[in-house]
Amino acid sequence: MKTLLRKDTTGDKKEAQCCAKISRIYAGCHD
Amino acid sequence: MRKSKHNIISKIKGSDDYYIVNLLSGNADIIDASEGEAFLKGDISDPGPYVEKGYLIEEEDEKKLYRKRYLDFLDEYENSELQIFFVPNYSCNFNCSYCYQTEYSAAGENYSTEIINAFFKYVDDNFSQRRKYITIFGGEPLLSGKVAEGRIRQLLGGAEDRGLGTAVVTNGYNLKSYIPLFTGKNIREIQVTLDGVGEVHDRRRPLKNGEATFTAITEGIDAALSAGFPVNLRVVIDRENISSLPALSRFAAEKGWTKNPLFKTQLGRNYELHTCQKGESSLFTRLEMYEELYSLIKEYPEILEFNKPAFSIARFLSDRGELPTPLFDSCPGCKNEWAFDYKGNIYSCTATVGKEGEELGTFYPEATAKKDIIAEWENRDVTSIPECRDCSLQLACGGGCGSVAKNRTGSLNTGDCRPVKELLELGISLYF
Repeated sequence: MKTLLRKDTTGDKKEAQCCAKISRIYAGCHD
Repeated sequence: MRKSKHNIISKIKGSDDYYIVNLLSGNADIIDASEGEAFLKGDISDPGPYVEKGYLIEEEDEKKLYRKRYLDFLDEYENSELQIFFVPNYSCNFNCSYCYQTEYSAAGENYSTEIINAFFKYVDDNFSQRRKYITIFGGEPLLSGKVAEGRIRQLLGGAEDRGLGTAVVTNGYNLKSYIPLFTGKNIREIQVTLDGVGEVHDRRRPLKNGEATFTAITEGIDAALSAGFPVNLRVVIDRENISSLPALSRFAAEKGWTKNPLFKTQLGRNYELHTCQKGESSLFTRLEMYEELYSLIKEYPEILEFNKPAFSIARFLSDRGELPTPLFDSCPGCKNEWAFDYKGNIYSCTATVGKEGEELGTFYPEATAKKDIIAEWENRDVTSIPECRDCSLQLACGGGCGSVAKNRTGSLNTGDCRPVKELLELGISLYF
């Protein structure tokens, strides 16, 4: 069994959260 | 000890290995073929690692964990930012081949400033406690002429007076000429659509008189980025234009857009909303679109510089190294999204705004609300939709889009199922 998780994700997380926030404009929930 | 109800397990495309993902426990693993087959048969020689990761769990423990995660989700949802759409007009200067608003009425567009004032008063009266921002939507909001400009100016001013940011969803044709109006305002993002390079785009998204629009839009994107405004480029994909995605990716790279931190992209599927689609044969199902993307990316990996498709939660897992929190509800309608139009009507979201019969109330000339229907929207999630309750994919799917579900079944409290298992087969193969 090989995990797909990574332990240290602090840096990635910060950037990704910011991207997620700014992109929810016309998020296309129906896409 | 039994298998978790929330295990998602399947073979990775192009491999003998299996993936196993559990949104409730937050674990994701790859297991080899013999282990995977044994797990599916329930013939597990060493259950220890499966128990540790929540793939095997006592029924009562799982119920408790589910309740806790659900309460956390509701908490987070209540505190999330509200997106409030306003449609200043349904008219449009484009004649897109796949428009879902073709039959919407553009009557009464010669209205006074009173309507937009009433919109902001409604926002003040009803959403004062929520973090929020305004998104200007259409029709096409950035039309040429003093009347359209005046409305955009009034909307930006109303948002600014309340300290709210504004986003704009536009076809981009007149974007360049609107940049001076945006300057100095808190513009969160401008969403523009390009469906390909040159003629590929122009065939799908021409002006009403048939003229080309590609060059004007690219000039608008350049102008917005130069002025420091974030641009979110949407590409609407179907069978007609998917093969031109590599060319669009290269074009965006050559323009320097993909290296610009202000530039983002989204691939939108062409969908089955309302009166949409003159030629339904060009429509992709969600899975078909991702299957095509998978093959295309294998051949043209440069597409990933332009856009890294989600493949359900595979991109999230690859980018962040962890799973997202369980998604008990993927429909924002009447929860953290509302839509208003210049006719004084209120709707749940961008999928329903302007569609006759979908009005949930009014903000002008007086404030009214269809409370029963609003409650239906508010209560719709995977715990309320009957077919979601026993589905192992529910916490990745979230029940899908309420409007698409209602279009399909006639009832809002039904699912718009996402092919999560198949998307993960592709996405985990591509990103790991």
